[in-house]
Amino acid sequence: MKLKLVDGQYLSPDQTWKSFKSIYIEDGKVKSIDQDADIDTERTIDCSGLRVIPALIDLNVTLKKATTNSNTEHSEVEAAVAGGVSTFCCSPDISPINDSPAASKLLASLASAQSKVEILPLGALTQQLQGEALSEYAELRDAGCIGLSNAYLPINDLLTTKRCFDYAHTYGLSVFVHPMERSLYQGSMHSGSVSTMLGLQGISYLAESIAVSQLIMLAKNSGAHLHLAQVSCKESVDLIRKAKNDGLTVTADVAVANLVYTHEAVQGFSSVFHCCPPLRDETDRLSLINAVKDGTIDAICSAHQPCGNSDKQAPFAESAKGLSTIEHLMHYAKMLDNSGELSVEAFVKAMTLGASKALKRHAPLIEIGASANLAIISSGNAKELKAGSMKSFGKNSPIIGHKLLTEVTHTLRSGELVYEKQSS
Amino acid sequence: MSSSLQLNHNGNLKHFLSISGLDKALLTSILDTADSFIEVGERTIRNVPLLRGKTVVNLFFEPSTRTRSTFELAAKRLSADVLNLDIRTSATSKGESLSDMLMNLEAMASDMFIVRHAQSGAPHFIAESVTPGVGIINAGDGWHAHPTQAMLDMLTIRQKKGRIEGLKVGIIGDILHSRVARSQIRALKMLGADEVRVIAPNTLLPPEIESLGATVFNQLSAGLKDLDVVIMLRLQRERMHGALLPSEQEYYKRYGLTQNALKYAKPDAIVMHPGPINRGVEIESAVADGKQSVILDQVTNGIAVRMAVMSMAMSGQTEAKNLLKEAQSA
Repeated sequence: MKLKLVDGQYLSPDQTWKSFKSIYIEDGKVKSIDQDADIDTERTIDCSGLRVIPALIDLNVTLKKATTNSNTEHSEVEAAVAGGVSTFCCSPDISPINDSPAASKLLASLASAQSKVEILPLGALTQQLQGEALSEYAELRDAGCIGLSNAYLPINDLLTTKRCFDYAHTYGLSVFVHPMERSLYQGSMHSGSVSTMLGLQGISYLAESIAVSQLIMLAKNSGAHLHLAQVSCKESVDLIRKAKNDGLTVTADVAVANLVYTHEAVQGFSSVFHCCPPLRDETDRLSLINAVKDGTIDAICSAHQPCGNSDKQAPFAESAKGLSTIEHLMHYAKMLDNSGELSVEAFVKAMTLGASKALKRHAPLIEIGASANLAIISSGNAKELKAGSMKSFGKNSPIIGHKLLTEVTHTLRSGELVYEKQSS
Repeated sequence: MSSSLQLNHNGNLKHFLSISGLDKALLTSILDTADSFIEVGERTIRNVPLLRGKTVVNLFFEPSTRTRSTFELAAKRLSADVLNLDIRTSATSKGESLSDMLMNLEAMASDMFIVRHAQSGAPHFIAESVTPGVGIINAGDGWHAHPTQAMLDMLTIRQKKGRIEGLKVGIIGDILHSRVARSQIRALKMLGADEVRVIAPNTLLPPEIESLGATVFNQLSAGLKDLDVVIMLRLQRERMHGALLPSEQEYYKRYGLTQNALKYAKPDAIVMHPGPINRGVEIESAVADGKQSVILDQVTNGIAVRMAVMSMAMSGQTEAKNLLKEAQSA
């Protein structure tokens, strides 16, 4: 398909906004910028007042199910493209759990049945994610898994973790770990003034930072690439910064919710904010933002976890964990930009360059010859978000009823229009 | 927190979920109303018709003897119909969800649920999302709150000391797992106590307890010094298994309220305990039964306080419904 974007701004490789007259796309690639304004294309998108960014890469999405009724349209895939995401890593905690080549192939069939997004499967680090026995890493790699993860479940002990690293490194697989020390990871929210007030069992930052320090040592010893998924506290950031300064090839991401909210959001037992890792305090939040700015934390992820309505309908600690975020990543980016804490450019950089670094992939930039994976964003239309208008099966979004600050109008993958916002 | 959830549009109580979110005037009016019901308890005919024709359901998801009995007595003295549900043998054990079970009870024209639940926030969840049209009284949720216990303690302190303002109060024991302590600290601070101390080893203290306005003491004698009110908490025996404490003996020696230890407090200090008492574990029998103990007064006051909050929340619910009807017909 030949396609042309005209008269907007784009995020250039030097991370500044540049005006363009035309971006011409052919054979899935950016063919030219500002040279072929007059060329005839099947489709021309008027970008006046809009901004073009590289499509987002999301390192952490929970799909829940690897299949759909029709196998062509998956609600979370629809949600992803509506959020400007063209590539995402699929956490192994789906049904069936991705711990065998058969499960990986099922997921691969979903990925190939729909071409809207690129789904990168993460294989289970341990069988059935039980944290005990290793899964078949070589088989998983051959079936298309790009890395390994134990999702949100802890690994039993350090000996097992060490063997996971050693065995993963044998096959050159990256290990994505949610750092959690099992014996300390007890509770439903951050351990602090709010947990004390609400009488909820709190999870200390130590449950994470102790695991981070152990994982860094194990990764260093094995030589495997460690990716720390969803770090949530200042102490973890400090440890990662030191490891990077020491020359270790460790990468890390943070969930968007941990950049935007703190444990104060849980006041009133608001179960939409029940998530793992928990929302921590303001010192942690600011430390995470600074770590994104200085590159200590490479990437931002959605940590998208769609939940059915009844899953959240329970007393706080018994409610399902997770937030539905993938559709509104750019809204959160704008929130952080408006507060002066993190620019939209830095946010997008973390979700493109940073994420591709963690995936050891070529950096997605808007330049001639690059794959045309793009998202076009507008400033919000000041309409309130309604649950019914969300594509995701999970309506567990904290911004329902809020005015959207930014919306994705179009998403392109390899030059094909995979999402276009319907005017309402 | 939750002030809008607990109050109707006129600022009157319609649920009683936590002390947090309620102001001094409202807490004082609960105490004043309770005072008026104490007189009812002293009559030969103890019933008043405030809740006549109303159905109150006792929903105790955790076992309780005293709290449940005093709620039942309080509801009966207000002339309500009372339904006691034994949750262990009913609905939720058959796999019915909490929400479904409560909506069924609402459909049976229940007017008020008295809820005790092991999960912090369960009564909030019910009031907010399940049956907002039924008055919810929190009879203890997880480690979060036990507001009627705190209010009966405030009533007892006010009776014995004539005031709460300016008093020094110490709470001794397992603060970490105590919903009673959390509600007491809130109520004492809101009603103007001069100082609220929590006295315990660090394994029994929740993080950042100072943020609730309490001062931490690890040593009993220092913590008791100059206290007007000494509140003991029950020490659950299972705390010995979770590596929180080494032994009952070591705990009793350091934190048990003995006659000797009590000498550090003011000579006219009163001793309170929410019950049930573990004699020889957290309190010496001679202190529990001594002249400074007001433990049985607390039990008596429990009925009056529960009558007060039930009648106030029921009238707040009726008021909220009338307001809604007016709004709909307008």
